[in-house]
Amino acid sequence: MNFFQMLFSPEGYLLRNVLLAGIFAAVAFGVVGTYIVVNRITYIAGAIAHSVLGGIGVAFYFGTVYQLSWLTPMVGAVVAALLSALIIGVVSIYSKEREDTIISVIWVIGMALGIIFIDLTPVPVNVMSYLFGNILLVSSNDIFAMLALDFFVIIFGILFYNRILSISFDKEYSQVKGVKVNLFYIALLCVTALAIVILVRVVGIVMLIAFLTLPSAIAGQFSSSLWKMMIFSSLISALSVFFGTAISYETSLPTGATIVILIAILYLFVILFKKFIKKNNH
Amino acid sequence: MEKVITFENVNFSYNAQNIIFKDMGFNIYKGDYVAIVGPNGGGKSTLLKLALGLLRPNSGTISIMGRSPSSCGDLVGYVPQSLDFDKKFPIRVRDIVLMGRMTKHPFGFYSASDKEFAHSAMKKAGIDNLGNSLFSTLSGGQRQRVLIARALASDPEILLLDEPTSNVDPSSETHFHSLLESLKGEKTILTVSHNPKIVCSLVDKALCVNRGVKIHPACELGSDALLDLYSGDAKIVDHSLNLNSEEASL
Repeated sequence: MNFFQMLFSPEGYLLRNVLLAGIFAAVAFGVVGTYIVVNRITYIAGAIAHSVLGGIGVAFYFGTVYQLSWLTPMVGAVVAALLSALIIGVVSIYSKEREDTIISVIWVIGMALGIIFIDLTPVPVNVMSYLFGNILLVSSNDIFAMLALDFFVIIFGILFYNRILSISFDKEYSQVKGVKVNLFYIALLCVTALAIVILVRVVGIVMLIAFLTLPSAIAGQFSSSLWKMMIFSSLISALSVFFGTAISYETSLPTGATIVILIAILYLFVILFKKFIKKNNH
Repeated sequence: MEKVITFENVNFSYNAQNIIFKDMGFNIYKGDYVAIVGPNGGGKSTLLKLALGLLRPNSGTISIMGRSPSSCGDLVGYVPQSLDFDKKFPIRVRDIVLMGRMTKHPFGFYSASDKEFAHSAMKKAGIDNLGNSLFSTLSGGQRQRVLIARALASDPEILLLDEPTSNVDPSSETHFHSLLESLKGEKTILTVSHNPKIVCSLVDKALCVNRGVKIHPACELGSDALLDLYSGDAKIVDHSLNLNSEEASL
């Protein structure tokens, strides 16, 4: 059976779940990714993503050794991501240390802790599925978590759109106008952290930055406002997930990697196309 | 006369070695048009940032119409010297000007009257035809006009400007000066300026800042006094003369 036959056949529920998850995820990434790209905090997103492995490792170890059933890898991931976001946010606002040094430290400590605790865990852990993602392992619970995140991100994005727009464009002026700039910055990092945890399920820690930034970078090439950039970016993400999954299904290539390569090709194509048009106009 | 900006016994330093203001104080009255002048490193921008609530004094009080500077977003229109912004930021001129109206709303949305204020501010700044243009496609002078329109859109009592014409073309500069002149008396205006032309011909008072503050009536400030202020020789920079080299280095 090919991809489309499978998609519409009764036994295709797993594939439909996968696509649904991808499309729900795309909405969150379109919105959050746009903020990440225009605020130029891709590197922070990368650090948060890698610190997630630490949380997963710790949760696996203590969950298994002390038989704490509530301590799932997901819980560990959420705690680690939020903690990293808070540390990076507070350090970049109040500390005199170099921000990029702190970000690198968080990045590395997260990875190191994760690898040590996963090694200590008495039962085997499939590290690869966290590093490179496996959309095929997405459960119905994950889908509900994604829906909840979408809802939260969209409400946050609509209610505070003009403030976040103003802060992203000109922090100093926003502060003069009485906007709580630091509070919004930390909130933005926390929302990013939550989106990252969800995304780890789909494309994994290593390829996550590509997924968070490339669709928004593509959308930014032809958007005239931030909200249009978010919508285009979500659409590009969703289409990439759909076609990436289709290609991966037909060719048996790893899904996450296929999706990311597809977005990267699209990005290069758009950049070259724009250059070409510019040249012809001159 | 009504005091609009008051600094009293203000002490400020960035660190122990670098004391900027010691027991500094002055009053600005309603309708004043004041130029802040002084050498680089003398504290002009620091003074402006203290008045805007972006910096806090180590001791002493600063009040803007009886309120603390950090809660005066609705009273103050601020025009920065230039903007460090993402060159690809997707935003139209109109949306930037509307940011001036932000204080009026805790949540997202702008009303029809906000849009009217924004439109009339764009008209005053001479950019009402650019509302739909992307900010990233504008020239330096046009961008500065957008920032001026953003400041005017909030219909502020006080305008605070940080060398607003240091990066603009001559025609924008002329337009800008006549705009400020038309607002004279109606608004209280404080502008950091390196341009002796403005200081000598347009403003009522000069606030001379060099690790301390003195207020002179502008007419007292002949070029000799100005030269003293810049500690001697050739430090007065008329930005209109080296505009091209500045544009090129941007």
